[in-house]
Amino acid sequence: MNKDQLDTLFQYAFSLCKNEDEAYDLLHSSIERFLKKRGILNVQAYLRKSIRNAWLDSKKVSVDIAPFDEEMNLVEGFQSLETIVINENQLSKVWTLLTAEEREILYYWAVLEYSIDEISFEQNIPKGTILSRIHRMRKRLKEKSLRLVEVSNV
Amino acid sequence: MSEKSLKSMVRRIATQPHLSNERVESLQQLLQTEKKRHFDIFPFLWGIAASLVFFVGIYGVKLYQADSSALLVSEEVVKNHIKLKPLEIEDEHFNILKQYFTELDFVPVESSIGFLKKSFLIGGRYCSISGEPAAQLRYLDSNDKLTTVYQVGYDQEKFSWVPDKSNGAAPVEKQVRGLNVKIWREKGLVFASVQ
Repeated sequence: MNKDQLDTLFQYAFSLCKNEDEAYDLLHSSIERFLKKRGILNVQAYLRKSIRNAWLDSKKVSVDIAPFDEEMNLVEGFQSLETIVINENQLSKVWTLLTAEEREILYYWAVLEYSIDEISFEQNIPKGTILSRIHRMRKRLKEKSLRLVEVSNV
Repeated sequence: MSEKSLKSMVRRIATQPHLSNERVESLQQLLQTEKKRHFDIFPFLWGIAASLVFFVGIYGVKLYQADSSALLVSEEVVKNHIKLKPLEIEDEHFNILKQYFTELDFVPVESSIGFLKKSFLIGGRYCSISGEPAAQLRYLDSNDKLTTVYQVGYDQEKFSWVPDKSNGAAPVEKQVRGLNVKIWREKGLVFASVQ
C-alpha cells in the first residue's frame, strides 16, 4: 500500500474523529485486523468499514438508522448540496459544526465521489438514512445562519 | 473573500491532514512484517491442505470401491436367493450339513450373528460368490421367513473391504430388489445373508 492510499484512509479516519493521533490509531488497528483476514477483494472499502466500526466502538456510538421520510424529495440528495457555495473563512467553522456521520457523508461525496447508492452499499446503511442525514445537515447549516448561498438564488 | 462550492471546500479540508513520513514507514513496515509472516506460514498450511486432500481422496476412492464391491456381491446373492434353487441336502443339524460340503477349500462354520439365532436350518447347497466356491445355507424362522446365508473363504484381494465382526465392526448392509443383505467377516470366512 503506497503513501497516497494510506493518506486517503487516514483522511477518512480523520473525518470521523477530527484528531490526527486518533485517526492514526484507527488506521493502524484496522490494518492489523485486515492482515488477519483472507480473501478481501476491495481492501480500501474493507479498511474504511473497519475504521468506521472501530471508531463507533471506541465512542460507543450506535448507528443512527433514521426512518425514510416518504415526503422527502429524493432529489434532495447530493444535488441539494451541489448548489451550495461557501466562503473560504467559513470552511473550518462548518466542519466543526458537523457531526461525525455528516462529515463522513461529505467525505464520501466530495473526496471519493460516491453516489448515495454506493455509500449505502459500502456502509450497509439504508438509503433513506443517508438522505435523511443530508436533509438534516442542510437544515442545521441554514439554522446556524451561515452565509450559505444557493447558486440558483444568486 | 472568494466563495467556492461546498464540495471543493469539503475536499480541501478533508484532504488536509497527511501522515508523517515516520507514520507511513511504520504502517508499511507493519504490512511488510505481516506479509512475511504469512509468506512463511503459507507453504506449511498448503502442505497440510494438500496432504488432507490426498488422504481424503484416497479414503474416498476406497469407500467408493468398497461400496461398489458390496453392491456387486449383494446383487449376486439376492439373485441366488430369488432363484431358490433346490437344496442339495436337507437337514436341520449344522454338523451334518457341514460334512456335506467336502468340495470347498474351507470348512463351513456357524455364525454367531444375532438374527440367525431365532431361525433354524433347513438345508444347503453349493454355490459361488465372486467366482469363489461357496456354501449356501437356508434358514427359516417361526414366521416362515426365509433367510439364505452364504459362506466363502476369505480372500484378502477380493474381500478386504468386508468388515470384521471379531473387531466389533457392523456388517455392511444393502437393500437390493426389496431384500436386505448383510455382509460380514467372521472366523476367517466371509458371510452374506439375504432376508
